[in-house]
Amino acid sequence: MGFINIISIIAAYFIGTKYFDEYQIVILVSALSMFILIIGYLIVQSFERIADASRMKTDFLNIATHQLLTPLSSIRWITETLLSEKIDSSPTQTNEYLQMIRVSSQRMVKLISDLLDVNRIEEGRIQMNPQPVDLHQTTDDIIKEIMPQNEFKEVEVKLEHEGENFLVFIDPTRLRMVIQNLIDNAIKYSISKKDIQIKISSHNSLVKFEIEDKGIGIKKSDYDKMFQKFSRGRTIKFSTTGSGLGLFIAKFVIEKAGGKIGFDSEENKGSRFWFILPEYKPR
Amino acid sequence: MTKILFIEDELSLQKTMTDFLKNEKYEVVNAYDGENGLTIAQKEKPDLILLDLIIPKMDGFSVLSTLKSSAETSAIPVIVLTNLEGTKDVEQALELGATTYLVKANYTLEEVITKIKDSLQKI
Repeated sequence: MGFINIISIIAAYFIGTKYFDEYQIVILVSALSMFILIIGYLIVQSFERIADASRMKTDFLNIATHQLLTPLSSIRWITETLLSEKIDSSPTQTNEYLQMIRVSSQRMVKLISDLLDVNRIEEGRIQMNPQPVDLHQTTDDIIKEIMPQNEFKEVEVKLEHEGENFLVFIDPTRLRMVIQNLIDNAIKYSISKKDIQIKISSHNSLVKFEIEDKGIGIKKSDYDKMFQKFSRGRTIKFSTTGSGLGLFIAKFVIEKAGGKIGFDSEENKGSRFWFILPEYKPR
Repeated sequence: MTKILFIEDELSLQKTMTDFLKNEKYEVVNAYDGENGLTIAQKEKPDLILLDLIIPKMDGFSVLSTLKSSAETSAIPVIVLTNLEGTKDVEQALELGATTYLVKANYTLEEVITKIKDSLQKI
């Protein structure tokens, strides 16, 4: 690019001397140089974006492959253990292993489902079935369902609400997925699992959902990647489950319902994810 | 009794491998994250370490690097046991001093045990 710039300047100078005075030549050469530098910058930026996208795609494929292979390995090793004559499994132990197979297969189904959703979103084929949904009731139901599960044994989620009408118009299944994903993330990235707080508020015809954790937080350099697909956002050191697709799908679902989603975070202190939806007023 | 430290966050993989190792009369110490794994390695000086790479708090590469740069733990053979299949990951782990790199999905428990016995025999 520098070479092209020099040649262009020299050419412009010699051509310019035939038709313009010195002052005009200086302006011509400066303008041409600036133009070439801007074009060069834009070309380099485009290539960097392509390289970045390619890197993120490779990164995602590595992560998705790893995430699928992990539960598959679990199922394989568990069945090997159960079938092995060397290991004497009691009925309790056998039951424990079978539960693990169930959890592993659920993880695989979830990942594949997320991958298909992303594909449908990108092709504009995703089906949504919006209905009036009570955001507070839905959140409360989800918390009551997941808390008794073993993996959430030490988790404490506090739910508060402020306001009166928490009705929103959105696909209820998709909304559940969004809330579940935000709760899972808050738990996954928390240092102390007892500090998850959810607040639902209704104000000025908007219903707001906020979930706060006192966890590892998000690096500033990751802020613009959080809702992109293929991105893990928070450092992979702390992230051993999940596909990096949940927030991408969540953003689509919320925005499709006329809402907005975002977050505030401070590294090593915690994060607060929120979304806002228009209040639904029955006629 | 030969002591093996298994650093792995996936509960089902921990449990099945531990059962098989105990059946082979190995003493097994478990760690579910990198930081804890490193602390146990430094304290207990196991005869061999099985190390996953994608683990909480401190990833496997960092654990491996720290183990191999410390005089106390550098001689402990480390078998990387992961589902990361990339060439760069394999190269990085071996450069950092891993004895063997095994992709979990490609090995049965019995096969992993064979690799462990091979590594221990070489010491």
